Amino acid sequence: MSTRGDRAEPEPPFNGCCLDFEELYRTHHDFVWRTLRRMGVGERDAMDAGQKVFLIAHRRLSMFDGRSTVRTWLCGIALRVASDYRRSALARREVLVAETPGDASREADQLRQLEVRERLAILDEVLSEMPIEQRTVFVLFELEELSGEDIASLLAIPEGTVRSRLRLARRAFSKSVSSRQNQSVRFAAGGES
Amino acid sequence: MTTSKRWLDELPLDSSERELLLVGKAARPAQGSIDANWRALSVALTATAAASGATSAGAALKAVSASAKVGAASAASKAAGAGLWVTVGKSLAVGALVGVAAMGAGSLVERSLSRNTPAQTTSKAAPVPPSPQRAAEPKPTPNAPTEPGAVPPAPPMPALPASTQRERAAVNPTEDQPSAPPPVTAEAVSSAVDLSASLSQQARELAELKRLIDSGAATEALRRLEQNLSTGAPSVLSEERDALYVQALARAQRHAQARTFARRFLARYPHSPYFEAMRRFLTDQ
Repeated sequence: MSTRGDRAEPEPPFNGCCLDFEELYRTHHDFVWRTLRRMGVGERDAMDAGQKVFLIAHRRLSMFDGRSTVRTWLCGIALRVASDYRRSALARREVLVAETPGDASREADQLRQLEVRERLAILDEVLSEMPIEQRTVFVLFELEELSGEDIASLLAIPEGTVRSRLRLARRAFSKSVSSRQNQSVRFAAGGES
Repeated sequence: MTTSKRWLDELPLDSSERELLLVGKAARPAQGSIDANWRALSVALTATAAASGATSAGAALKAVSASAKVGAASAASKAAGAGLWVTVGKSLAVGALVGVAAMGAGSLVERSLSRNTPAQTTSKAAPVPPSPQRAAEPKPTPNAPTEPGAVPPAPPMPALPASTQRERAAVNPTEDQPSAPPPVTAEAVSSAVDLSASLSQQARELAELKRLIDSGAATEALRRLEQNLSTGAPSVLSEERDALYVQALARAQRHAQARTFARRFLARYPHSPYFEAMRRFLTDQ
């Protein structure tokens, strides 16, 4: 059994060519941002945290030895920045408030965006209920499509541990989603009576 | 349950889990934030390069380019050959320069914003006025051992897997993306400058500690490091700080403690650039 997924990132091995920092930044910016967000960095702080990731990456560029992909290397930095963020007082004070859409004339688009926002909020709630070890593996494997091998290397854990954490995380995810659905049903039933 | 495939491929099409995963996979930052971030980043990096000894703005920009394009093979071999303390020192030297960046960056950003120019998206996005004449070659930055011309251009990055593109097209959520044009962003750029100022402050402190250790004042460095460690404040430079702590302990002849902390370092930072040097330190001891 392998945790190397079918849609593993087809990034070529890094083999001695050069890194252009702007290209690196533009290629991986969204990935870094998503990883930070799903690992608990608040919406308003994600940009700062992303800056921090790339500042650190630039500082360490000459030390990048090509043993992992650039994506995995950046992911390691992003996980550390997210971890620092969660520990910080800033994270404890963070209040997640959906922003008010700006253009009132585009209601359909706003409704769609609102729906997406609501789902993302649910996703973050579900993820936040997981132990951080399971959440990390789940986010990297299911959302960012890193391979099990890369995750094991990144987190310095055996691949079997990646599989077991992933299994537990999927179970917890399903349980949490079901629980929310049941609550919604009960709420709707109560509202009608 | 199998983990040979992504969960998304196994979930029923109408499942709630699948919906959430699709939305999460397709989320992306607000439109324009990439360029806004890059502008702020390039301001800081350009100022860093300028502080490293470049004598004109043009040369500063070139120095950024030089430090950003690094031959990995060369870097890897240099890193492997360098001693722990040399590596730490280099890293701190670069980090400390980020501090100077924050000072110059503030005014550059203000000027840039007051002109209200549109976002620049090219690699020359740093708000540096064009140099009327070709500047002299900049001094290489500490982490830029190779010249940009000495290495071939970067390969094109691969496109997203087709399945991911389809999912993005199907769902296309924009988590933080309002329909109006993006609010870019004095706030965003200045917050990035604040960030680099904070980072640079930490880097300056660590560079000062390194200077103390190198000048034989390891005990004083240890005192400051222990004070810093006792606050328990998270730091993005904690790896460098902890590496310096081991060095300071060794220089202060507290070898048993140095070994203990070196082992902790290896456990805590298994992917650290200092890992190999720290391991060698333990072996040599």
